[in-house]
Amino acid sequence: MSLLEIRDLMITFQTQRGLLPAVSGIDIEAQAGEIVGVVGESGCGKTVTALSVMGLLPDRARTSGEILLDGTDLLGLTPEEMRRTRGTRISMIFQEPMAALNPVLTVGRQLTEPLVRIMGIGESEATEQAVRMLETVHVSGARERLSAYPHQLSGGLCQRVMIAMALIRQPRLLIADEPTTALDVTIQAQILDLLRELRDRTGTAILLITHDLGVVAELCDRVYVMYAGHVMEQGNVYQIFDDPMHPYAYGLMRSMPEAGRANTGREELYSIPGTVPDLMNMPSGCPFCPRCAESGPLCREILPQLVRISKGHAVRCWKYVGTHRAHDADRTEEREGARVAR
Amino acid sequence: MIRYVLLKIFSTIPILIGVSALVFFLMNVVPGDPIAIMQRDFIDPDALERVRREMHLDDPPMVRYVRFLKGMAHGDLGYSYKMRRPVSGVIATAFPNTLKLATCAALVSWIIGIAAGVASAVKPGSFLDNALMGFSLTGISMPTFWAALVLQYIFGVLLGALPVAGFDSWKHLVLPVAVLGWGQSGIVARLTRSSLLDAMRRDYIRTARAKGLRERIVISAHALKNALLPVVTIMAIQISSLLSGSIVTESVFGIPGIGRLAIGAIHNRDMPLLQGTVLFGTFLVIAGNLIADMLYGTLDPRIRYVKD
Amino acid sequence: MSKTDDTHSIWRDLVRAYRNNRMATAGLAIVAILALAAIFAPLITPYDPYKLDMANASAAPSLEHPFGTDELGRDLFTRIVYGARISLMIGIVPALIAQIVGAVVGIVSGYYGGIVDHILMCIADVVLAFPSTLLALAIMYTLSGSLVNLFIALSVVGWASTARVVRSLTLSLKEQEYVEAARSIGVRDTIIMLRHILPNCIPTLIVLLTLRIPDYILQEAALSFLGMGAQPPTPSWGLIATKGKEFLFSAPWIGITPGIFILITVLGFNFMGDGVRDALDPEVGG
Repeated sequence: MSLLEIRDLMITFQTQRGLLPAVSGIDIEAQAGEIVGVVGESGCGKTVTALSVMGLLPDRARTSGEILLDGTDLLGLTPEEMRRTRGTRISMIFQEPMAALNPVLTVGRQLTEPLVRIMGIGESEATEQAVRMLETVHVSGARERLSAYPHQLSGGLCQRVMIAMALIRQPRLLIADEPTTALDVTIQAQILDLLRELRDRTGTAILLITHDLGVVAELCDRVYVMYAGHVMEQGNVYQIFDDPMHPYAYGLMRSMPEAGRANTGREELYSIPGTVPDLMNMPSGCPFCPRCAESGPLCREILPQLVRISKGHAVRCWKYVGTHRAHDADRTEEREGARVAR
Repeated sequence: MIRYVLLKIFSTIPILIGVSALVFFLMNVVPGDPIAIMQRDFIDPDALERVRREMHLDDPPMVRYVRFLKGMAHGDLGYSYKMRRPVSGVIATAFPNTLKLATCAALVSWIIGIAAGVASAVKPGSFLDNALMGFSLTGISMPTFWAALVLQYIFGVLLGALPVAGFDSWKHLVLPVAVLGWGQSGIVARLTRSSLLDAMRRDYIRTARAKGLRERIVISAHALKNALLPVVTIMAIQISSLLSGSIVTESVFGIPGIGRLAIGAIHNRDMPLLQGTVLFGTFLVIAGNLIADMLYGTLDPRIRYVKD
Repeated sequence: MSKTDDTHSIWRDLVRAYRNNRMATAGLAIVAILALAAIFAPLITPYDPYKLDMANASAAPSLEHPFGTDELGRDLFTRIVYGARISLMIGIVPALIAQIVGAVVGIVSGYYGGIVDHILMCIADVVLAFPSTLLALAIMYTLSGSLVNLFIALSVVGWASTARVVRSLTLSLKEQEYVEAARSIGVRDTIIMLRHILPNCIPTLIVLLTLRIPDYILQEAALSFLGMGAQPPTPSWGLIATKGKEFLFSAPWIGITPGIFILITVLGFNFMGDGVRDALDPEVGG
């Protein structure tokens, strides 16, 4: 049984303009000890998905489907049961570590708080645990840091404190929402190393939410590519990076600067034309269709199912539905040819 | 920290000079000859002569102002010719009454205001929120003297339960404190609510919830601690303005405090006394602002540490 | 072209956000009704607000005199309707003056900086150091009580806080690229201040204005009550209520009615102020 199993999750928001479908039926799995990436542009529903796992969506959100953690459906829990689950079985770290820490409380207070307030551990024992936890995430001078306030720490240190705080009660699953986006490049690498090391040591599964393919390539075992509330492609990191199949997925790959390649200054980075569709006025067929160079008439009408390509690798695109691939590819070439001729 | 405090105190000096100058020239220069004004409704020649000597009215205004400043530095605010006592003494007698009223009103308004603001912010848009905010806005929107009249009418005339004027027992405090407390608590409640709502939207609240903390603790230990910073600042300013005399409330209820003194001085054209009470009130406000500044510095670690 | 389009849509959004706020709309309705009553006062009531009728003194509310009459037999409803003129004027005129003076001082102070800024802000701080009622009283003492003097006193009290806010706005606007660009190509300072900085201060100025008007209506009532505002026989609400104090036992309607009108008017303006503020900053207020 998977540690986390999200089944047909749908999330809609009630807004002044009407219902807004943020996530439209996604399936995501994570095994114990696995690092799973959810990647996509902002507004694709990845953060909303993460918050729904935490049970931290605002009141105006409506959810359906199942979020199974060790077989328990989190969506079926009472708010009180969900509260007890947070911090103990699932934790979360956020994009802006500085803003995510309370500015008027010391680091030590924020670290020991769940131990003291929820688990009823004594102050001095909790302090010892906090020190050990800070040492685990490689914060130097851990004991002295306890009396510091967040604004006295760097962004990288704040994120380490956040990680320590999230892991202090040994959760099975850690959700990391853009954990390195707000940090300097060198610090980014350190934090990613730390996350991998902690996974190796504790076996905590990590659900990594990001728009940064570099981070995914660095850290993840498996990847889900999301677009406008749908999973467009999923597979292990090699399948996705070496053989991206969905036009959106390889568009993303092409827009990624390649490490090590000398920058000639001439080549402009590729960017996918068009913009993310307005979730209030979603096209009826494939949501990527308006930006897709390879779209056909069917794409505009009907959203395709996820098609299994190989073990663990699946893609949601008409190119791969039914008849074999080569045929579709020929048609694409014909279309391209026609365009050039005109 | 000490350096910061000294710097802050030092920076009020030009304001003190400006305030004294404005008051002095407002009282002494603009209306022409003060003796002429006094003679209109004041006929005790002895006192008049004494005032003339005290104020050196034949000197040019600048000379008089410098002398006035010198006196002020020694705590000498002049001589009230209506009370026939030094102004500082008159103020010292009246101040305890204002102090009693202001302290009670402030305490009442803080307790009610913060409680109402928190209750409102916890469930924004709820019936309780609307009721509390309606109550607060009404308190802010009522003319003070009229609220006092209505309360006097209901509790004094209709019910006969409470005295409507005077300042002899705790019973005399109830109505004035209710009038002042209602309006002031409205200000505190509205600020607490908006400040708490703002805090509740912050990332660190999401973090606190992600830790699995109870909502009560999320609000009290995380949100409120941030939200009350601006409220505390307002509270310091509020008490200082209450201490400078609630002119209307004191005159409706006949409370012999600073505010009553000021309005009495106006009606009696007792210029030195008016000058003294205005200056006294202004000093209190300046001191209040200073305290608010320092409180904020002490309570907010971000500011506290930058200064060190 | 595109700039005006942007401005238009911002205002449209504002109007929509404001209209969606029920309390704000109610506030606007209250103020509009009062304004109409003030303008068309002679059409609404047949009585003269100043004409004495001792035979009918202190009459209780009746069909003929819906709010009763005051101690000198004047129709209270008529005096209240005419009083709306005074209350609205005393709220709006000095508040506008204070906003304009405050905006000019704030922009000049923030834009030029240096010694000009120091002097202007020091003056503002001096004014801000006074408890506002005390300062207004001190000015009224010097000038003697009358409506015009009340305008002056309230304007003098109010400009400083506006100047402070506008100054800090100007300081940040001054750093904006389009202002720097305009400066670098030699656009005159006055043009920059009028075309680029002032328009960006307008929303804030409107919020401050809608919050200041109710404050001034209350100040007028308080000062009139203390005998340092409008003088009899002006039908000012504050003055009528003050007179009513003496007849609280025999004719309570004289004191109570004008107070209710002050309360409603001030509530109306406060609803509007909250509405404008929330429309400009939808985050606040939940």
